[in-house]
Amino acid sequence: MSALRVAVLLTAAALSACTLPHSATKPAAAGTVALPPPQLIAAVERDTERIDHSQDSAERTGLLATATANAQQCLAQAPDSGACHYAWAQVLGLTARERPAQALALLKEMLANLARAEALDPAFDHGGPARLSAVVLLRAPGWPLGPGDADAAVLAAQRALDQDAAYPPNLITLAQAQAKTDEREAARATFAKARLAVQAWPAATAEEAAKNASWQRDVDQGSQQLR
Amino acid sequence: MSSLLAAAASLLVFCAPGYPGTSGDAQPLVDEFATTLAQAAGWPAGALTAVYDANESSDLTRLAAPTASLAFVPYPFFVQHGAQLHLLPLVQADVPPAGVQQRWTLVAGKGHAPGPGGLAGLSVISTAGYAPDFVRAVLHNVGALPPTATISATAQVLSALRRTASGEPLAVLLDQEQTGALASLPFAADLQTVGTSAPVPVALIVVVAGRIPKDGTLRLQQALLHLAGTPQGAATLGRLRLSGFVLPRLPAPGS
Repeated sequence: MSALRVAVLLTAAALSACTLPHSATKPAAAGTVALPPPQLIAAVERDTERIDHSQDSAERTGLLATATANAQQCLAQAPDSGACHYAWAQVLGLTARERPAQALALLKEMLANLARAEALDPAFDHGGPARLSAVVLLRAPGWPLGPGDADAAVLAAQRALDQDAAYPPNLITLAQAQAKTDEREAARATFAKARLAVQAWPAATAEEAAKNASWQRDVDQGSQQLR
Repeated sequence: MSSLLAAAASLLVFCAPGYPGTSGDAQPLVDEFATTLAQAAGWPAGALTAVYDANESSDLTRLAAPTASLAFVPYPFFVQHGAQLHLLPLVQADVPPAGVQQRWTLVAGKGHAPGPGGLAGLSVISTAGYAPDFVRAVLHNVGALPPTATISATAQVLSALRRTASGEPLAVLLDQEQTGALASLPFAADLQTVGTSAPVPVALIVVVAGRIPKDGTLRLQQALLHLAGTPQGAATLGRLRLSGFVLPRLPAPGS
């Protein structure tokens, strides 16, 4: 019902859950000096994390402007870098959250950039481009309002898994997509694999432990919904 | 002041079964709608609250609560639950691009469309599948759906259309917006229209079980009918993708 599509548009907000991987490069402050792509990506990473956690609208707007500039600079310097397209796609996802009225167009552009990133560097961030594509396809408004497509999400999540079958978010995303396409038995089995993968994933630092806990919550919640 | 105003806050439930989005997503918008409507109707601040719920089962639970005095319901929901819940239409929503009414279209795979014998053996899938009484009623001018036909709800219309196009013995009942977008699908050539319904309302605002006194109801109805004519009302409606409201024009039974 069109009357309620506004709520659908707002689901773009959920897309921000997918942040860039933590790179080995220390984030550099982006300023007037042109930074190389790895540092620009690190700066985008830092800003997207902060946007995700900020409750202050003005602060988010400022961080988003900086992340946008850095991601675009990254693409200008390295148009064939999958990592730069991936970073730009994440910025588009966050922009969609901040501007719900433009969310649908932004999500379509996000998917196009993720497709480019996947073609250029499918293994980046453990299959990040395909995994994030799956997340967008799962959470975006479905046909005819938006690009959401659960069948396509299953295929994209499977491609991410082909890149790294041990990375828990790849398994979690596939399980969520299977659940949405009513493949309940397959989803249960994939969530079970995801639980083992989370337990096996190293959690040496506090940050890694926090990520593990977050993945574990996703597995618990997804499994619960299948009961 | 009516007795209504002295009572506890009334709740307007936005019922949206089968549609995506969560209460959290839509809450600021339905809150704004409740505030704007209460102000327009001359109700005290806080006398009307609203909640968005996309789950049919919890919609029914919410509507059973004595504070739930109003509901925004898709027409299929009204057909399915209107009599049981004593829902009285107050206004009919004007929802772009359809307007105040829309037609529903039944689509099947090419070569699998039912013949002149009717819709026997068909399995019908729709976002409105949670309301089988509506599905049967809206299809009555297309053909009688036998009691054995299965009707299922889905939020994954695209998947259902793909299955239909690939030859599964299904038919998908589409709303007007979905029907309008059908031609854009890459597999549209593998689908065919079985029939189109008569126009029916898109959505209604209803009074639940007479929980608003008559004087309050009339004032509320006038406020809704004139909401689009004020800058604040038009802005609030715009954010909900609504153009306004008209008096209810329900199809005659059996038409």
